[in-house]
Amino acid sequence: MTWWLTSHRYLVAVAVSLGCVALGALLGEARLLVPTASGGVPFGELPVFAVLPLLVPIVVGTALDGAERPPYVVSARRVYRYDVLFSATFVLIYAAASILVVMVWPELTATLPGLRNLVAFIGLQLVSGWWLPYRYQSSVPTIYVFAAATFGRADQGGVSAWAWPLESSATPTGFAFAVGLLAVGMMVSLHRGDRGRLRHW
Amino acid sequence: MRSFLRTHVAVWLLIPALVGVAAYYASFVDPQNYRGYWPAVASNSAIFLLFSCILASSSSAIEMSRLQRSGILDLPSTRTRLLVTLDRLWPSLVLAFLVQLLAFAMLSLGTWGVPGFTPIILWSSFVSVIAMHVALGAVLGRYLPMAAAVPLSLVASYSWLGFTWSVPFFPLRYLSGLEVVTCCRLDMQLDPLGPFVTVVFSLSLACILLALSVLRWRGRNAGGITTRVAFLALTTVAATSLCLFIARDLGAAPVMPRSQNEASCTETNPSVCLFPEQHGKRDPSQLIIKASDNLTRAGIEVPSTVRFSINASTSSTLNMAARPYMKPEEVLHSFTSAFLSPQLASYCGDADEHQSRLLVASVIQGWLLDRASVDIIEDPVSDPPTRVGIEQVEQLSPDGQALWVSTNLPRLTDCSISVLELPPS
Amino acid sequence: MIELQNCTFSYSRKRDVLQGFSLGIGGGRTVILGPNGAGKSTLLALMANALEPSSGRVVLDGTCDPHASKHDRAQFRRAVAWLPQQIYPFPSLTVREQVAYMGWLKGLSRSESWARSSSALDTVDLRENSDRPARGLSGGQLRRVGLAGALVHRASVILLDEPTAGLDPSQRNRFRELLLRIPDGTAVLVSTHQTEDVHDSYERTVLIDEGVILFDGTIDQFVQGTPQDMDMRDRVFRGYSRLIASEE
Repeated sequence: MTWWLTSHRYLVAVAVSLGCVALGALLGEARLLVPTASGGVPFGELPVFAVLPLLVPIVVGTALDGAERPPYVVSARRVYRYDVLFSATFVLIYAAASILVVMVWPELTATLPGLRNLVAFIGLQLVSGWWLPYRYQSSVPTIYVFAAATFGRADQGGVSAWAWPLESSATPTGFAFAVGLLAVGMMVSLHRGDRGRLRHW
Repeated sequence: MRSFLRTHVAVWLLIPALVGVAAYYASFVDPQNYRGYWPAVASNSAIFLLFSCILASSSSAIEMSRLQRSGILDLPSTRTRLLVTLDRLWPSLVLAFLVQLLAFAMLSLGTWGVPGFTPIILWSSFVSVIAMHVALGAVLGRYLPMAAAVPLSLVASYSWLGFTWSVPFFPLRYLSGLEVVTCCRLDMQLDPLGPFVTVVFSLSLACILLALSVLRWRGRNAGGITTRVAFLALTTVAATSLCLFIARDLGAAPVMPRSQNEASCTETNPSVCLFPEQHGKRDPSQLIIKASDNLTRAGIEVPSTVRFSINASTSSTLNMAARPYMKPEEVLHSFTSAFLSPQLASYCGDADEHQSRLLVASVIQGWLLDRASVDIIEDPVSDPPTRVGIEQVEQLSPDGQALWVSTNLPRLTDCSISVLELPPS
Repeated sequence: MIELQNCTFSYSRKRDVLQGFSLGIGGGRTVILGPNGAGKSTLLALMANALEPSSGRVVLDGTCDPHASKHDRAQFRRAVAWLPQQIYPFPSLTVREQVAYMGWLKGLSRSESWARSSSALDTVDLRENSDRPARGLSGGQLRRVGLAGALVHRASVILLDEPTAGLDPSQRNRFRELLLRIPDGTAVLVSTHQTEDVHDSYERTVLIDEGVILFDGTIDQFVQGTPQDMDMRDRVFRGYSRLIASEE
């Protein structure tokens, strides 16, 4: 298992996860302003807690892709289960670090929407695994965030329901959705298993 | 060539990019704000750099990653690594620019036939910005695994375009290329210095990033790598500093007043000076003259010349805001608003005093609009508080009303004298 | 014995790479010869259970079908080792760790795969490089690491896809010697597009082109001439000519 973890560069992924939690806590509610066509809806805002957690699925996807060599594809062990657990582990690490931050510094509330987003991003990534190889999976939550930032602003200045990455309030419903998406993603990936992996390699 | 283009990822990403452009156009673009004025059409099309740059950076990241993985760059060749790379990346540049061009074509609907042209410097800035994003994707594709390069190219492109707007330091905005979307009203024009800064910065960064993407780190020709990297870093700092220095006096938007020499004035009373885009079907001069007659009959002195300008009106010149396509109610609203100063009322004393002055300003503007609109449009004033205020003023005699308005107009921005209150209802 | 039974496979809807293809490989060394695009790599990947045929099946020892159950698939994969044409080492592992990891992936325990990796590296003459990062190896060395990975779990079938591609003549000779070190009884299938790789250490030669077997016989029969049958002779000659042309 040590070789499995080493070939999946788990230390890099752990460092990125913890770094994202720390940086997200520091940056808080900072936002990128997105200009719009003049006269249209006022400036869009892309909060940092929507962008920063993307680094985790990117690193996880890179690690999974990098470790998926031909001997892996024809492994006698069910290593694709390990891959799904690998992704889920970083949700736990991120969650533990986020909860710790909020307990110690309760004013750093932007940590929670970041956690919600991370859970949902990993879920999206796993769902996309039905069609896409590891190489392109992390592009799915990335594209989703920027589509939400560009098109997800509601008329009254709020955020549309489907543009949940931009939502700053961390409600139980939002977390339930994210956890549900993660669960669906895990089931999809486990069901797919190792079918058709070599075509993408 | 055909099979190369068929396998180039930029060809495949063209479809989603165009879908994004169409969706954005349908959702957010209001043609009223730019239609009929070519500099405004071209400037507003800059917002679609969000899509063309993402196409440019993600496709070049994928192609560069493929190139790196194939080992072609390390093979002995009569061509330089730079040429081999450019040969691979040019479709990303061309197709991203095609997206930009098609976006412009969409925005230009309704403006064809209007005199004027799009500034060449603007097109140069689009090409240079796209080139920079192609080079950005190339660097990411060269040094990162594809699984990281592709999403990070999306993040980098989008964030760079958005980040520069998030900091209150205006010169920084001119580095990204989106600052031109704020241009322009009909009486304004694009300050070429803005897009010029964008061109200088983007082309410099494109060259630097491209050089970084083809750098040979090992082998016989890899000598002086530290020197090269240091040189590239210093050039980046120098280019950024130079561009920020050039843009130091530019404000939030790269616009400047349009020369009034471009306008031709009618020989009427008042004389209405129109820009070339306002002639023909869009000519508002008759409407303005009629409104002016109405106000004169109501006892208000109208300046002898009406121009379209951002400047405050004077006793001799009424400066109106303008768009090429304005409905009659919009023309009348702009005409009557021009009698007030741009800030409506000065902040004098406390918040209550300021509110009071603003209410008077609103009633004045509403009364002027009401009088100017006689025999032109019905019920021009719909705001209830303003309507109530107008009714209070109308308790005075016609001459009294005109006197109340004329006396209060200069007092709104003069804190040394208080405004005349609304007559009691 | 590993057998393809009436297998069809395509990468796109336009063209089947293999159509109704059947081939059985028993103990001993077999070389599959064919020009580029003949279907050799696809054939080996199907045998390795890296690809699934759209129809037909791949069977090991007559009964073990990897698509029948998860247990059969694990058993199949434990018995079959596959060395593809492109070798990319696992990230961050040394040479010995690469070999041991490949054994672990094939179901060996950690201790067992670690213990066997040493002797596997001895067999391929890479013992002295055990602690080097695998990324630093040359193409030929990486192929030997791959072969060591196939030997560590004592596969009964070893599939080698173009193992000598890109190697100079001395390296090719060395690889020929390594093949002889593979334990007897192991079914070894080597694919190549270079006729000079065909030598007397192979008991059987199969020539394929465009997914069709044109010749299947001993090395002597292949070298001496084509079979008596006129059609077969023309097809073999045509396939052989394409092979020569692709080498040129």
